Amino acid sequence: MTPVLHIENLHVRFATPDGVIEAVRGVDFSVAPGEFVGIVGESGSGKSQMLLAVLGLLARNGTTTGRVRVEGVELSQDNEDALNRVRGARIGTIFQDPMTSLTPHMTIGKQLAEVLEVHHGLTHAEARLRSIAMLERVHIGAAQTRIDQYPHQLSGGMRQRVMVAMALACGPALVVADEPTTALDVTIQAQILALFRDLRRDSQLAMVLITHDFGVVADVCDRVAVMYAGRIVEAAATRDIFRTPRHPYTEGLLAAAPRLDDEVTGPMRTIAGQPPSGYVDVPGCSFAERCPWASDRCRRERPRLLESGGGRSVACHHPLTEVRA
Amino acid sequence: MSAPLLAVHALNVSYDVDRRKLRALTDISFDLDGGETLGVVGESGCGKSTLARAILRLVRVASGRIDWQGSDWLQHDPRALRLLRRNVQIVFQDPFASLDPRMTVGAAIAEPLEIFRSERTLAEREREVARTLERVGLGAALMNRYPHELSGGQCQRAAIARAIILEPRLLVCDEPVSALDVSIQAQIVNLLRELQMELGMSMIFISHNLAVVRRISDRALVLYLGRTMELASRDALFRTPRHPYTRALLDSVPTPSVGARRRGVRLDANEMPAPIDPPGGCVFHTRCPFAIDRCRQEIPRLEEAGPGQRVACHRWRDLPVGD
Amino acid sequence: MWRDAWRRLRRRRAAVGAIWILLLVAVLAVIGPSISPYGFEALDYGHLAQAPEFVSRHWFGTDDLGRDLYVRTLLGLRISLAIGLLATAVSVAIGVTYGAVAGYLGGRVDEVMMRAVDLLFALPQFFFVLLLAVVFDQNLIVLFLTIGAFGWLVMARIVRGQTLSLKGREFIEAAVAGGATTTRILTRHVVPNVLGPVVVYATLTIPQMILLESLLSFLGLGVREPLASLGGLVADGAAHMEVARWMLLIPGGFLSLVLLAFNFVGDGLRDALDPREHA
Repeated sequence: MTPVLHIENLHVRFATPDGVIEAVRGVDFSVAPGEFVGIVGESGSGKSQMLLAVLGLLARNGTTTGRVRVEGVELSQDNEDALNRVRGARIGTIFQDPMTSLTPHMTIGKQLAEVLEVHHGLTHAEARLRSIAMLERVHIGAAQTRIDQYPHQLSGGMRQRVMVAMALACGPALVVADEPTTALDVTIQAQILALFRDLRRDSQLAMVLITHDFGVVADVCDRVAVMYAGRIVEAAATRDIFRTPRHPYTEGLLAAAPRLDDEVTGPMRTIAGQPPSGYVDVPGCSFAERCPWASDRCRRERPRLLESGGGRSVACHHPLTEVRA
Repeated sequence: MSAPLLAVHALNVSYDVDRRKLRALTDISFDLDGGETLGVVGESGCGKSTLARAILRLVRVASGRIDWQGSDWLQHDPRALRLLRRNVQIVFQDPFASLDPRMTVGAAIAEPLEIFRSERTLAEREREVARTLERVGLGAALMNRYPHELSGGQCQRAAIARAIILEPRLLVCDEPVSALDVSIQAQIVNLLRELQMELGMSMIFISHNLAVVRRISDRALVLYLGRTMELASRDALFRTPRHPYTRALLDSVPTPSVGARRRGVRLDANEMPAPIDPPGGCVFHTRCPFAIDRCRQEIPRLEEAGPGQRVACHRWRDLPVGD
Repeated sequence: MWRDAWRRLRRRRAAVGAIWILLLVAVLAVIGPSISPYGFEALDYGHLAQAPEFVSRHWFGTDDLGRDLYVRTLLGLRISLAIGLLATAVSVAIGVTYGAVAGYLGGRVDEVMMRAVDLLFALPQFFFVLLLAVVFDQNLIVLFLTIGAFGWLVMARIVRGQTLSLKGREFIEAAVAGGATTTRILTRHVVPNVLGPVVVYATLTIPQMILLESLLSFLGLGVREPLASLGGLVADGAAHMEVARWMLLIPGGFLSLVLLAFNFVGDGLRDALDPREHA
């Protein structure tokens, strides 16, 4: 099956007055049709830049190398027309902050219709009907009235639903969401996640969900890729990652995030040190300086992302083998 | 039983917005003992940040009392108030915004010393700053750096250093870890815990992250649209929550494990009402799956529902307790 | 932040060129006159209204009274620059203090203070400066002060605006929470953080002050004879334009150069300090 998205050896670099920052360092990544994949990482992991690179939305001082294929078709970064056709029509996007993603002076109906008219050549009336249908699909009540409202008249959760509707408007094969629920209240987040679970039942739609929250991933994703310092360090089915995380970073991250059902007493588990800056790339494993199990080999030789069967891959010289509770 | 360190009684804070009054906090009451940590949870518009600022007297309080060691410090004149400030400090959410970008970290941390003249000479101050930097896990070498040269975690540690250098009795933390990476959050929470034990401080820990609040608090206060929904000891709140909102909050938190049982309380798909226009009766009734007529008409009082647990709900007796 | 701004400024060639020119001009103004054998009021009857030439060491020529134009021009430059800088310093001092206090205290105090500014703004400034110049008989100090006294109005408005937006920043709240007095907050936290726009505006105010004094001199109300600012020299030169063009062109050229250079530097600084400027 042709993957909906296929990324090969993607590098993203930024030229700054202080030197070159490499945000993404050679990532290979694929999404199959109908698959929901989560990308987990902290700041400096490169997860957002990877997405922006695919969409051709990097800042002016950013350069991308590597291959990106959407539904089998090669995308070149220089071909702005091709990118425009793909953006919106084949790949829908949902960003973190619905406040700034929606144009404040246009009604949401107009914004929705614009996407449809541009990509599908619908007439005004047709676009309006379809927009109402989209709003209903994302569970926005009284869609007939809402459609003529302005973004500031809607709450944060509602605006994010509109973003989802816009992303889905043209029936794309893939939706990418960058921290779509991070700015929302937890009760609203639960509703948006329920919406995503709903969309997952539609076998045609694939999603890439970027987040720092493992809980979100557990709720919505089939597969997870964990990124650190611009590289994927582990990828596996969601269930496997939680039960048997193989990479020390994945394990550390899972342990450091407090849960409602873990023990209450004692200090929290942490990962020592802090995420690296994008300027320097060490010869060995980027995580070695923070890893409790790092060996000399780890500091000298960079581990490659190796498959270990069952759809799992790890980039570690000494992958963990214990089962987490 | 000795008097509590802090006793807040019937606190009301409102803002003027477009000639209308927005009641940010209504009728908030709670006590805090020495060495105790009170967690404050709620979603946007609940008033938790306003509470932090009200306690620090950074915003005007419409009515109510804030008793510090027995005396109402809302009645103090500005001079006495300034002196009291050395005992109550605050750590904000955005570490970069809470430090003056034009001052070195060392100068920022030394400022409380300068204001309250604890140390006389420059050398003594520098020593004290260096000592405090070590205490929060930063090297003394960072004294001469500027905030933008540090990472988020380091900046927050610096902000904490500034807050504790005078060894305050109470530390108010307004979302202190929300802007930090997960792996750093745990470090800062541990640091706050250690400092609390070392200095015998009380803490008010405000956060929207229930799991973090659970790890660090002795008791917790749940706010919704400026009102108290539930005030209980940690175990009571997290194990046997009685207010429907508390239960909905807890149930909304996604668990990082596959196949977790999705529990009971589903909120109606309504959004949070605007704080400027709160619903009548129980402010939560528009979203509460258990609302009855009485809820629409009558504001529930905060009642004792058990040892160390108080709820503001008309139906707490007949609703099943969350498990 | 200053380092980044400096780096950005260095890329603007016009601004960098202007800085060099100003430096050159400043050096010239300070040591230039000592190179010439002539004094600024010495009358050289042998060379009345003479065009610039090398032999007689009248490198810029002489005026109608035989005074050496090289020395007079450079001295004029000194005076113009001094007036510009001093008047600007006065307006910065007053404007920053006034604006910061008004912005920080807010409420009624702010309203009253800014209404006062609006009122003063509505007054015909030039008229008043003229009046005071006549009344105080062209006293140099009074001249400095009156010119500077009007320049502070816009500075105050700018600083007030900056202060208002600064007031809501968390580090100010932190300082209040830490028990800092209003004075400390204003001096240690507000003023250092508004310096960016202040520096830009000050750099753009200097040429305005110089020009204002030049206008006064042109009307005969500026610095008193035999001292002359560039404006005074230009006035002189304009009167003798037909017989001794250099009397107008040389001081006029220097004046224009200085004004232009300050404006370029000011514009460059403004762009360099703008945080939204991308690489």
